[in-house]
Amino acid sequence: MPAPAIRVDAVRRHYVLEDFTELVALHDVDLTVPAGRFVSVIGPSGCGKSTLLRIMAGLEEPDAGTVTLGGVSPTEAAADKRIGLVPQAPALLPWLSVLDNVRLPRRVNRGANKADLPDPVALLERAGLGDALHQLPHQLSGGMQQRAAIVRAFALHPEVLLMDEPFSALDELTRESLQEQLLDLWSQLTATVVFVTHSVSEAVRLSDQVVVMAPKPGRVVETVDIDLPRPRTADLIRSPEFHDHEIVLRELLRWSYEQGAAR
Amino acid sequence: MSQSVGTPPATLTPPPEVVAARRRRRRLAVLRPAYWMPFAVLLVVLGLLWQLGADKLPYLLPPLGEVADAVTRDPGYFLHHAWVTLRNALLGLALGFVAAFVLAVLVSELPVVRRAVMPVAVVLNVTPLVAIAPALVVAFGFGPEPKLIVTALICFFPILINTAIGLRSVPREVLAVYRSVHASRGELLRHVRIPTALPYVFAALQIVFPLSVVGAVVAEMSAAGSADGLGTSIQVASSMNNLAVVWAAILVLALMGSTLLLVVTVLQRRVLHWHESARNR
Repeated sequence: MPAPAIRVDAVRRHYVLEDFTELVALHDVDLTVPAGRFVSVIGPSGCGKSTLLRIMAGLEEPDAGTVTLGGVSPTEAAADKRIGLVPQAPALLPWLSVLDNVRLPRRVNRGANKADLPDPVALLERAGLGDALHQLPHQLSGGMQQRAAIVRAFALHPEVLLMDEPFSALDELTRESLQEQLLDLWSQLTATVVFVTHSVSEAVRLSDQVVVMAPKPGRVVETVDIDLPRPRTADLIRSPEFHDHEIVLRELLRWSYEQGAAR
Repeated sequence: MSQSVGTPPATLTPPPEVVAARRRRRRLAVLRPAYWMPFAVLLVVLGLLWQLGADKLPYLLPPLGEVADAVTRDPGYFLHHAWVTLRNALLGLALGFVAAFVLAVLVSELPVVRRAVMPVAVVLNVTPLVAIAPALVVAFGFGPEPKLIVTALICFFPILINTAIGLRSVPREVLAVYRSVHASRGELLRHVRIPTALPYVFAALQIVFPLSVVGAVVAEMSAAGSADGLGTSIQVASSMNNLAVVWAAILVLALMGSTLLLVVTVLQRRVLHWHESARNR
């Protein structure tokens, strides 16, 4: 059993509101992700899943509790370039070509680059962006832009990949093709992945484990193992086992949704 | 689910002569009467009204012929004074730009500087420069210095405000990506913040290029003893009731302002080809 890549221990995060009361965004969240695992975090809006991800990325500090990535704090992990972040929007710089967008995170904080960084051109070609290397982001469809954003993260060869609803703005078929692409890149460049989503089928398709969160206050309510074999082929997705997992998760999600509605 | 026989390909390439004709048509769009006629008609109407006015009220407007005569009689005179004004305007603009840009970077990076500088900048902006100009002339004399300072001051504020806003307009998610790889402040500024601010900077330049001419002329007019510049020409000629020279100088100034605006606009289209403003035309 390898050491956990991510350990979240009793993390709390409170936001002070306009009227000086506090919103409990995260209440005593514990989470352990073994190295190389793909974990999805699912829950209704307001459950704190994005806040949790931002804390893991070192973009926010918890008010209590600790987070470690590979044994160090998120800030130290960021300084060491061990984190790859894929936000909800592609966040490509509109004046840089696709290739330069993928290269820029490697050009900044250069000293922390790993010795064996993958070739960005090869990665982009593998992701189906071989013809778009020198195009500007606005010349690409939304799906291709998000693909470039994923490659930008993988090009750092990060130990931890943090993804915040990266496919939520895409149509069904684009979404499926990007899920495939993600799994393909992940199988080549292994990383520990935390993937925030609100789609049940996406969580089942991608993950080894799904963490269900509930709002008011934001907390973890259940962790479900997805013991389906990989690769997750089209046949597997149509199988009854796949559907069973979806049903279990959908029930949990409905329960946590009612938690938010009831209060 | 086979493709039906009649489905055309996704892109069509018409015969070369059709493509060439389309290209020609787009290039020549400005030459079509529908494009330039409205402006030309207005110009002719305004010219006729002017001539009519000049006929009835010779102390109000000089006949256009006399204005043209004034220029053709001594083009060197206008060229010299226009050059002096243009030089003052552009040097003052450069001065104001460098100062405002550097300060905008400091203001957006350091809250202490922002809190100290912004109130002063606002007060400076609401103080009429026409009122400051004579004081600067007293302080610095009739040379180029007060002209450069007035021009720099008039250009300063729009550049400062726009650049400061632009530098802070980086989308939250872009910041998150570059913070997650621990990009330094300098790297963020150079690779992300300054390019993000460029459209805002150009919006300021579009205001400030023509404004620099205003600054230079106001300063020239305040310095009654100046030797040259179109502002000085206007004052000298108007004190001698020489309306033709006054209007000739005004027209040269208008032409100068328009040319500067054109230069910025062309530059902007080149530099900001990736920006919405260049695409949604």
